[in-house]
Amino acid sequence: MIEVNGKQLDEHVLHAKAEARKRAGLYDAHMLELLDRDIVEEVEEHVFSMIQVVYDLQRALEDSGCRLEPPADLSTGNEKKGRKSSFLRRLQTRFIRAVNEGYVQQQEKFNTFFTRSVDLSYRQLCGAMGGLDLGEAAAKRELWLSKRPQWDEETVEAISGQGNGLALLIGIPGVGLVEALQEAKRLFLAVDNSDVPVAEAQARFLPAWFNPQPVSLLHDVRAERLGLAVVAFPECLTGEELGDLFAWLGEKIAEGGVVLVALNRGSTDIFSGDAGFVRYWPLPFLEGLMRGRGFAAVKWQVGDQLFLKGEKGA
Amino acid sequence: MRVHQLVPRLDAGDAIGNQAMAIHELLLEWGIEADIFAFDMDEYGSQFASFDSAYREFMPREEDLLIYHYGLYCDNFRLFIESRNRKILIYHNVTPPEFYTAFYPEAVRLCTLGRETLPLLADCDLALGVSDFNRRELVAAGFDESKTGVLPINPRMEKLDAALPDPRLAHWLADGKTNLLHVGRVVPNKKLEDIIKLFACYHRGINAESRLVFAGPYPIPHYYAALLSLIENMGLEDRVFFLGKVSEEGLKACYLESHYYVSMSEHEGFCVPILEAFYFGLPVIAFAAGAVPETMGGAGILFHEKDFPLLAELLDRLYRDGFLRERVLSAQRARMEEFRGDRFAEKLHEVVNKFMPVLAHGEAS
Repeated sequence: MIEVNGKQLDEHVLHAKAEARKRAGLYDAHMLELLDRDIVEEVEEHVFSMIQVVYDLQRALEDSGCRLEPPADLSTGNEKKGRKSSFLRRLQTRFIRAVNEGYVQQQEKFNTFFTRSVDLSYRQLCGAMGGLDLGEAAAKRELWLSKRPQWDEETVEAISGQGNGLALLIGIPGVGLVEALQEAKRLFLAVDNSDVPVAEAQARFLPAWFNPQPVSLLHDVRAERLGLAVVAFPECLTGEELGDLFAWLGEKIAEGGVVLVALNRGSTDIFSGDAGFVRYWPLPFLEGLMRGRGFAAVKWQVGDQLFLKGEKGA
Repeated sequence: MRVHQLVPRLDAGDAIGNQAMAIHELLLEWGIEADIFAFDMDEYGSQFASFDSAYREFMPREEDLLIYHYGLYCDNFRLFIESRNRKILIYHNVTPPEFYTAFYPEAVRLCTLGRETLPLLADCDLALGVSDFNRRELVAAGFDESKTGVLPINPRMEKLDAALPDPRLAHWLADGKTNLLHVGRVVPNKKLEDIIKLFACYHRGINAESRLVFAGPYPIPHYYAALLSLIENMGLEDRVFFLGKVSEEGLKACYLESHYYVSMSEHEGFCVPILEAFYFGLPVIAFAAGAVPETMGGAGILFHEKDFPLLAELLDRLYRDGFLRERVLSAQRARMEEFRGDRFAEKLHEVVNKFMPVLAHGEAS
């Protein structure tokens, strides 16, 4: 309905004229399609859309009180005074705001990877420095780390039959595997950075060790006839530790030996991080580590549990 | 006894800022001590306002009056809640967040917060909407209806009257083409894409010698880019122009040299540019949504469905039918009379007198 000065207008003539123009081809099919098109489709087609991750990060920074461009951090040595907030504020003002406000107009893929990596760094920073109040997410992470999933009998049996010679366990996925390897007289070392599974194993007189940096232990042990290494929770190790571990395994595991790395979230995405802030390592990263040390990497599945299996070639 | 005004921002050309300034000037004229406090301000605003933290010293004064302008989420609402002054809320409306979903998540958050915060402000002596549409939203948000009212925005034409039209812009617009004009921020609730679609029909089907002009800042790059993409798809690159934020002189040139004012907005708390178009004698055709029908007050052309080919025919009829055009313009002029400055002063006087019976009758005029 059209009202002119509050009174309804007779639209018949207008309708007839509009129809006549359509019939005459003045409004072609493409144009009529565009008239019905939602502007949001234009955004999806042509415009780099906002990345939720950046928005979440921005919001978290704001909530933590980081609002202004800070003065330069003048702390010295180990003082670390103000470094975190300085970093976060600079991150916010120099990059995130630029993305949010659309000043950064790079290609979508670049933005996606870049912002996800910023997201990852941010979460690592929070974890490493005691960080911001992560609320439920932090509790969830702690819960996951303290009660890590235990592997079932089928998985234990399948793993026990892999490789040859002695077996090294980095991370204890339940006492079942430790017990099975011990019975088969293959257990070289079982070490974990959580004291819960270690305590369970020790209560059953199984040789398991606790160390907050399990990989650091390896340089002090003499490993001979090592033919199997199982990394049950690679997400509990830092990237540097994983690098060191594979360098060591590359030297110690003989031809035909096997390394199994659990993929605890199936095929991991490129950059990761989830609601629990557990840092699942990306599959290409793990594959790269293996191949770099002479292991042929393939995916291997037992029941629901997925592994990256590396076999030492000649 | 003082009257304090608290605003989120005090910027030149902003509807909330203009309203606050109009009130401020009248209060000073009546001999009332008055000040303005803002969370932030531009260079223009800094001539008149102080930062809102300075208001804290006045908060305990029960004899003072605080007028809080609320139109977007801003932390200084806490000052309004905590203040012991007598309190008036002027509600300019907060845009529903869903308009921004596809374009600007931060705006979604702020609009959501803005709407969630509104009920917290209900504990006041008087809550005024700048339109009845806004007043009804206040009631819906839990405000006591008996303590609500309407204080329409005072469209301040004297500034535009005093300005000389920008000669370059006026020259460019006066080249014989038919100009369709829209004034306002380039934001999703104003549905500028629908104006472009209407213009596409008008330009392609009826009048190729035509041009569409948008005067207003574009704060949301993704929305702006989407509009540019639509314009490109429709083959209108050299016919649609975004002028950005224009000066008073530029705005006056736009109003004087345009032929139609078009609004497709789906949410407005008042819409000052419609009254400005009335003032400058542009026939207004507007989509009937939000407070737009109320602002137009039975003048101009309102439509309830966005049938673009049909509306293009309507523009053509307005051009060809001088009688119809004159009827529309005459009703618009009559409507503008209702927004004369003295009427605003009377209304404000009535409001302030409830709290400060120091003003004698007739002092407002």
